[in-house]
Amino acid sequence: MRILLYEIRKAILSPVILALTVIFLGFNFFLIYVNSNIKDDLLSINQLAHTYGTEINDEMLQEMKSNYEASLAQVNDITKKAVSKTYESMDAFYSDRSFYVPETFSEEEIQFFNYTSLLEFYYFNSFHLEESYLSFDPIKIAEYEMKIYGISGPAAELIRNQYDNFVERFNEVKDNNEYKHLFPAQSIWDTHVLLFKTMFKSLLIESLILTVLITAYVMNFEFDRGTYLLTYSSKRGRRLWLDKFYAALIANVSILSILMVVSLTVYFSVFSYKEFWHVPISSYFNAGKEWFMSWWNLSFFDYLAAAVILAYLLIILFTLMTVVLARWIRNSYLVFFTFLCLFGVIFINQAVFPSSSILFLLGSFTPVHLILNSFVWFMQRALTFTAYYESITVLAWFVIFLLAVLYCANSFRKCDLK
Amino acid sequence: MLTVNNVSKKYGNDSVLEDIHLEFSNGVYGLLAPNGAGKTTLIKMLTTLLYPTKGEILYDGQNIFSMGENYRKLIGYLPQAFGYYKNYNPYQYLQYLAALKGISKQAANEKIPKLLKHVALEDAIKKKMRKFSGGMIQRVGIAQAMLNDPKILILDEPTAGLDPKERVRFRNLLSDLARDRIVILSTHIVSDVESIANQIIMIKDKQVLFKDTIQAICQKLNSKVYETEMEFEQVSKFRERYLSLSERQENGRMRIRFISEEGASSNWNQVSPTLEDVFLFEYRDLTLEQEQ
Amino acid sequence: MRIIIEEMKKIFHPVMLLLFLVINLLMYYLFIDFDITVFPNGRPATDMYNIGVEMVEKYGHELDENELKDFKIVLQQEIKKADQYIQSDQEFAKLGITSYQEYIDMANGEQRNEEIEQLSSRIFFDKGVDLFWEIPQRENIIEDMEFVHERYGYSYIEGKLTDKQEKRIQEIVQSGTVDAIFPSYPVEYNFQTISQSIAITILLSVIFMISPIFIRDYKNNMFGLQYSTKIGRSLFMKKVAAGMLSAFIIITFLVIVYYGLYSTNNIGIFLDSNINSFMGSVYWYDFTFLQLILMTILFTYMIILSMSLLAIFVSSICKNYISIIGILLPLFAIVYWQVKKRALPLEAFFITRSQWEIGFIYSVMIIIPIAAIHWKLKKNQSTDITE
Repeated sequence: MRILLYEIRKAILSPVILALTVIFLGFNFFLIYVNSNIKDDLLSINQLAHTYGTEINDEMLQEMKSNYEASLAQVNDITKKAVSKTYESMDAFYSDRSFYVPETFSEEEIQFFNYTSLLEFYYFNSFHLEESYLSFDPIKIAEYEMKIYGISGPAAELIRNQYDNFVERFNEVKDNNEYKHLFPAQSIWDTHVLLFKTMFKSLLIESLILTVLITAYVMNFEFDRGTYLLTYSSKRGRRLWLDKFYAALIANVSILSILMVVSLTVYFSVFSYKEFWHVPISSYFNAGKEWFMSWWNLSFFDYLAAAVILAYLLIILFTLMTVVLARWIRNSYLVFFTFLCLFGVIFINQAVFPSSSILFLLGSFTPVHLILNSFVWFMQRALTFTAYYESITVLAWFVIFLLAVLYCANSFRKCDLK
Repeated sequence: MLTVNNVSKKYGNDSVLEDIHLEFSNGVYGLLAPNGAGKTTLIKMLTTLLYPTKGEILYDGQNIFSMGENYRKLIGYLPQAFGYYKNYNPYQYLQYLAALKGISKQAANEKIPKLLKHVALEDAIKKKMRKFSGGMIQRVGIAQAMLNDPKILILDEPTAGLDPKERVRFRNLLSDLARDRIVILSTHIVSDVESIANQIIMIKDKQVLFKDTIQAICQKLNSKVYETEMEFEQVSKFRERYLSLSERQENGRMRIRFISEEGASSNWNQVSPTLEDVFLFEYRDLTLEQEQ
Repeated sequence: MRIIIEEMKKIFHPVMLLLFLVINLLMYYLFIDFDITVFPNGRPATDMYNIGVEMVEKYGHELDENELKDFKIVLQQEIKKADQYIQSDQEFAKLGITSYQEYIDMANGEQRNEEIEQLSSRIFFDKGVDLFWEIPQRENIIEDMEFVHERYGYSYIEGKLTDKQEKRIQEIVQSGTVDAIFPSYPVEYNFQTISQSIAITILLSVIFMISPIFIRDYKNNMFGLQYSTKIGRSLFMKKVAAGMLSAFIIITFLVIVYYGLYSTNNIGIFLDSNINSFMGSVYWYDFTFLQLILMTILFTYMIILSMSLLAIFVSSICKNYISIIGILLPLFAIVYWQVKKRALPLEAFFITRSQWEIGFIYSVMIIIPIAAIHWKLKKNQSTDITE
């Protein structure tokens, strides 16, 4: 235990690692800051959800309708006085270019307009929700995706074989009303992309960089300092290699935790999700360009938790990968760049296979593809045709890398240290 | 002639050497002191790697730091733990250093095989140095130091890693070289310098303790070194009174070589002091201090 | 010189060269390949490119009034051809369309017409009839030329123009430079993305090769030996020179390779066109496309050489490899962002970019590494080598 602590300390207390962590945190704050213009809107949406509940049903629609109509009437009262016009909808009001809103109306009035127009947006969309949802056709979407990527032959066959599951899930969402919930609309506020792409991708890449650096540093520390003869001949002996391995794992997981906890805490304190923690992630309002429902009935909170767990698993996976490299390359500089190359090679592996081949599809079952596409995790997509895409990928690569690490541990135990 | 004039060296507030006066002319100088006494610091100043905090070092009356490369081209230096590139072979390595030493490529091409032969590495000239043993590496280092036919050869712990045969060979080489140059040899192994050094320099308490011939230095302990035999049980008690220099078992009894400043006892044999005796005597407190 | 060559031998270590190759293959495949193999990228880019080639071949690098008239005649001929195509086509007949104009009127009509849309999709995407793609582009070109006084330069500048910008636009229009034939879409856009990708690729490659320059000696415990030889502490500058020379060689090699590949894009015909064309963008300077390319390459050298110097400095102060990567990574990110957003010539010479700002960025980029190296050099002269 003491050995482990000493090894962890080597990594965590390295000034470069500390400095990079701070820079990365700063960068994440910056990302939150530049996107913070939507935070007031989110507050209003929360308020709306608080008033009507997040579940969309007839009763709620009725209530929304009467409130909306009352609000619109009030708006028209105001506009009548100011510009002697009335409007059918807020949309029509904002389209009217005959006057300049900020000059014509008071701050309070404008706020009321905004609220009404938000209400209008949610009321209209909620009203047409069923229609809109039914206009999705998972098969059509899948076929379109396949056309874009030029997938044909056995690969296309494999995807088409999954259509039953696609449709089944689609109907499930329809029947249990998962899609009938209020949520910040992605077409306007793009919160899903902000959280699961911008933020998560940064978190993952940052922690990946630190993972590679820390692992290379810890695993090769004794070779770097020329103390390896001493340390590996001590009572602990070659088992120290395993200690270092655990130390790297713990350090990496800790750094990811620090980055995650701090960044997400700031994120959720700036962007309010108060009313939406238990809204299903497959809510119609959460549909974006590249996804519209998840394979499972997950609430936003569940989805976030699942994403966090997957992030941890990926970082552990990449730790294993670096450990294997560091076993054979004793120069941490070369470990880092070899890792980059390996990362790139895994990323472009699909180029080797024709897009009609099943191997082409399996080519995206890699931790590299996972780490670069956090915003579509657990979502129904043609290319990653199965609901178990994430689980299969993580599991398969864990087996591969665990075996590799085991082999490395064994070979290190038997190797000559000159 | 190399003169160290009134030199002190401090690292921050830690004083390592104070008021050092030394003069070197052709011959072998053994710089003898325990580890940590400032040998390497002195040597690094002689090689311009460190700047004296006070005082100056002169070569033929000129300050070596203002002479710059005109001085450095005269020196050959083997650092204590010297560096090399694992993927280089001795030939590439020496060519590289030849470039740094300002030796033309042709001259180096002629010189390198000869030098490597001198240190018995002619068969390994194209072998990568990563495969070398410690002794081989050390011999490459020695070759490297002689590459520019230096007027001043400075060797920091040169015999580390050499086997006895190599040591003998190396000593002979040095005696040869010392005829027309200054050779400064730093070591804490007395036997390295005992047979070849013209003068021994000892440093103690940041200052030069001795700079003299071996005979003169040994003189200091004249009629103070004795040998005697006793039973094992008596040894520890005896040690408390006298500084034991060496002990070995002989015929089931202990034979002790020691120092007594109080005069002889009847069963003691007075023996003539060696450099090793002086070393142990002078640095006796230091070792104690360090152990505490 | 011999020392510099010896130092360069260490930089071009075989293992490093191997990784260098892999990095470049990957970077090429990921970022550069697309802009070379897929150029012009789809339609109407291909049509714009073809029309551009046709214009230069016919009218030279500038379009004067008579040539514009000729160009209009060509358009009329094309429309006639389209009429003939329509008249001979069953599907048009079914919808009762007899001329190109009728077709356009219907397609752009107020009401959505399923049948017309399906027909358009068949003509444009399934059959890919060149005529129908080219005619709108030709019309656009004529329109741009005819309204050059009113529109040129204004369409893509947000907000109000400064006096300087206004003056520059007027200058281009008045002097007739604006008559230049240069299809900035797709030629300039393609060059912009590819020159950025090339710069990033070379930057990464060079930094990777150069960064270990000092730490390699430090890790091998070479300092004591090196600095006590004749060359002494001047070795520092020799190593810096070796690093910079290596950087220069690598950049030159990669520039030749990548711009050589770029030359297969068949843009040779536009090299002598002025880039301030009515078909495209406004620059602060009257460059031909070739000059723009050369300036881009020059700036690529500048950016990468200054980063190399910085990398050399970082290498000289770091005690382990991880620190080097840790320090260079954020610096690389900053330069990457600069290249992507503003600093490479295509953007740097743009009228939307204040030349003061660009000058400032480049000055900082040049001064900081030089100052850092200078500081280290001075420090090196007077400090103890204790390692």
